[in-house]
Amino acid sequence: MNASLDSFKYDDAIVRKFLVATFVWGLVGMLVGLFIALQLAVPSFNVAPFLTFGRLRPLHTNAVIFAFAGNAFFTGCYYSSQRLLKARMFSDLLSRLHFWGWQLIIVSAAVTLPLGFTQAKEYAELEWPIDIMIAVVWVIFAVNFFGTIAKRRERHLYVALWFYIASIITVAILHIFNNLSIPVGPLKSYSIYAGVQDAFMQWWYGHNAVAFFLTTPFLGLMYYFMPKAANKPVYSYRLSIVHFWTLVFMYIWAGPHHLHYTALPEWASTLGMVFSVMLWMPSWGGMINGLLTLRGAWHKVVEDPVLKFFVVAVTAYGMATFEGPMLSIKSVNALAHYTDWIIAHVHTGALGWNGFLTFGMIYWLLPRLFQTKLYSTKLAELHFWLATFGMILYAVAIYSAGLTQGLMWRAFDETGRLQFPDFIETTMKLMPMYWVRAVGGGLYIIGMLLFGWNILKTWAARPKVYDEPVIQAAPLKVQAHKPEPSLHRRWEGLPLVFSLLTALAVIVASLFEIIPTFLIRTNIPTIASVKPYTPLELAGRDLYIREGCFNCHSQMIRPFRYETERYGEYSKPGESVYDHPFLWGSRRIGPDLAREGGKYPDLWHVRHMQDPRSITQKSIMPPYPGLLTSTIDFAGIQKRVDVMAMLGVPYGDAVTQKKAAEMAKAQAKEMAAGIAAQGGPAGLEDKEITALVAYLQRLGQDIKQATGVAHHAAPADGGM
Amino acid sequence: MLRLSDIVSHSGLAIYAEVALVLFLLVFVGVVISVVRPGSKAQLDAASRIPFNDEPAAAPSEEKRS
Repeated sequence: MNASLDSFKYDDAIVRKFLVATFVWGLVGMLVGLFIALQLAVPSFNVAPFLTFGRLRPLHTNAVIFAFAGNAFFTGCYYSSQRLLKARMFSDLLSRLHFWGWQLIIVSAAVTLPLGFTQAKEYAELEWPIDIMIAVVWVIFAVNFFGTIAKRRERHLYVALWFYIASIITVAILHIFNNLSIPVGPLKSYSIYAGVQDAFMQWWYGHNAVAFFLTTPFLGLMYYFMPKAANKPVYSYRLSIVHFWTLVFMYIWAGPHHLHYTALPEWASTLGMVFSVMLWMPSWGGMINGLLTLRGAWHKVVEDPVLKFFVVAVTAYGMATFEGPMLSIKSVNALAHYTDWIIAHVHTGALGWNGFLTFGMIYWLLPRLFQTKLYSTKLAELHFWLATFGMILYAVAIYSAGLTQGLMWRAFDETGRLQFPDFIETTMKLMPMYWVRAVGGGLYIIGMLLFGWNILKTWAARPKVYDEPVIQAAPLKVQAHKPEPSLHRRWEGLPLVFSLLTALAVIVASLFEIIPTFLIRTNIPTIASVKPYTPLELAGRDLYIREGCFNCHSQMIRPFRYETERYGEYSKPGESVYDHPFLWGSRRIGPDLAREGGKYPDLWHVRHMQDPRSITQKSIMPPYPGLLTSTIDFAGIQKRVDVMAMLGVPYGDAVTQKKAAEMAKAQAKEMAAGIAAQGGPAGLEDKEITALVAYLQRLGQDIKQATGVAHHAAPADGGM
Repeated sequence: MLRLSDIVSHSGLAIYAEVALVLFLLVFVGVVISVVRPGSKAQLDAASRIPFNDEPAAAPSEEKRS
């Protein structure tokens, strides 16, 4: 009998590595979050160009999503997969390459984002060399994971593994297609998609990054660690199967709800809304399944911090997945879009669901991985309460901020004019809530520090040499193979077929949603008066991207009266056909800029960029005095224009005669003379500010000229 | 100039979306039927205990596959 058994050991060293990385990057990501939260309340915290809000905000999101949640998923995945499959990971070398490769990616992100290298697409900001690195490391992870499945000694794939499989496959597809771009330089590229198509691709990716990086992997973790911690099988395995397939079928369609009332075709928006609302059902099925796993074990929740964290995590999942479908309903979205409500929504998910699930999982793992008792259960309890209280403060404050600003934007007075025509009024109203948010986030981080202390002290008490138990299990081929009566059971016995089916569901859905916008002309009517940016404006646009202006300013006016009153004619799909990448934005910390061109004189913009508070006293925008001294890279402009032309932007002479730099210089010279004549600083003809202002002055102009729409004069406070 | 978009918009692909919808629905209904059909209970229970197979002493139930 024993002769037919394999003997092997689990690789827990790799799990320990990922665990430590989870904590370290989690702390870094959260500290950056706290810092940028404070920058909104105290703009003088924007101390240097590489520490401005626009450059740090993507660092925060990338750090918490890919570094914190990513490493947390890998921790749990490596621990649980080996045990569920009764096999050591396929290759120790691949495990190490995965670990160190992923950390290298994170470090590259932490360096390049503050330096202003960004693709300007949310959660896909990292530039093309890092994108290639991510793809390679992801493939390494996939080979390692599927290799382990191939040599498994447990025929049936437990439901947690399906969630891992779906996540691994889908993230690969999303990452590759959203990041397709043409390099312009070593750390600069232009998306191959433009305008509406780029927006559609981005939010197909963006929403599914939430779905397949922050939801399905963590559901897999929930389905393994929750039963383990409660010492009870999952409440309903049946429900977990239905949960899985419904999520895989539906999630991929939901992305367009991020683009309601934008220039996206309405059918896509409606499709996204319908699927998002339907998603409520399977999500709550999963939540109920998680909570009911604790049936008969509720008394343990009182004394066990692990279960406490899990209960709040699953509850937060339930709240976020109720709110998500609600926010995807167009009329609710009209109020919430561009406001802090969305920020509150993601933080319920990130702090509550991902954070708490990670904390619970790690507290459960610590004694097992370091083979000693958890240093302090009391500290873990304290961590739980601090994190819970911090999260509530954060959520209450930022929900209020979102509702407040959303309602103020749309308020009209009795004469039918905007009640708060000055954008800054709506910003000032949020200040108290921004402070409460900072306190809430601070508490959460203090909890994180206690967490770190507990990890450190538990680690310190580890044995000199880890005990590595030898596991024995029969290889699959000698296990009696009974024919499976049910079709679904037979699929799962064939991981390859199962994976292909999952991939197929995801790809088919994606194609049906995306292809029409690319290939059916009537979806994006062209506008004859819309012309490409001049070479100088293009250089300015790249500065707008470098500084991350899109993090706070949208360029997408929705067709509502309160929007057109405030910003001008609503945005048309045909207006952004040359925008590689699109810059519609998703949050208005400052006003929309889609029709900024021509609203103010050039000099106003120069002064405003130099010191925003000299123009608008209470402005919370970072100052950019450096733009007045740094010089435009005229030599690099030709290459940029050439790549744009390669992507189909009709640049004519600028490309065929190689005149881009010459044209840019001529335009800059003319603008600089104008600025000097208005009484501004002289000698700006080769300074970056000129390119940026040229871009800002172009925004929205093509349509204005064509239709002759009358526009409102600059608000009184905007005068010089 | 003849563009790809002209070809695609005139090739009548719209029907495929409906076909895909029906296929997806059928697969989903199949999954649901296969999990709720009588007789699946024992297997599902066994599957739900897989996480406990690695530590025989702590397993909440003695029933195990293979």
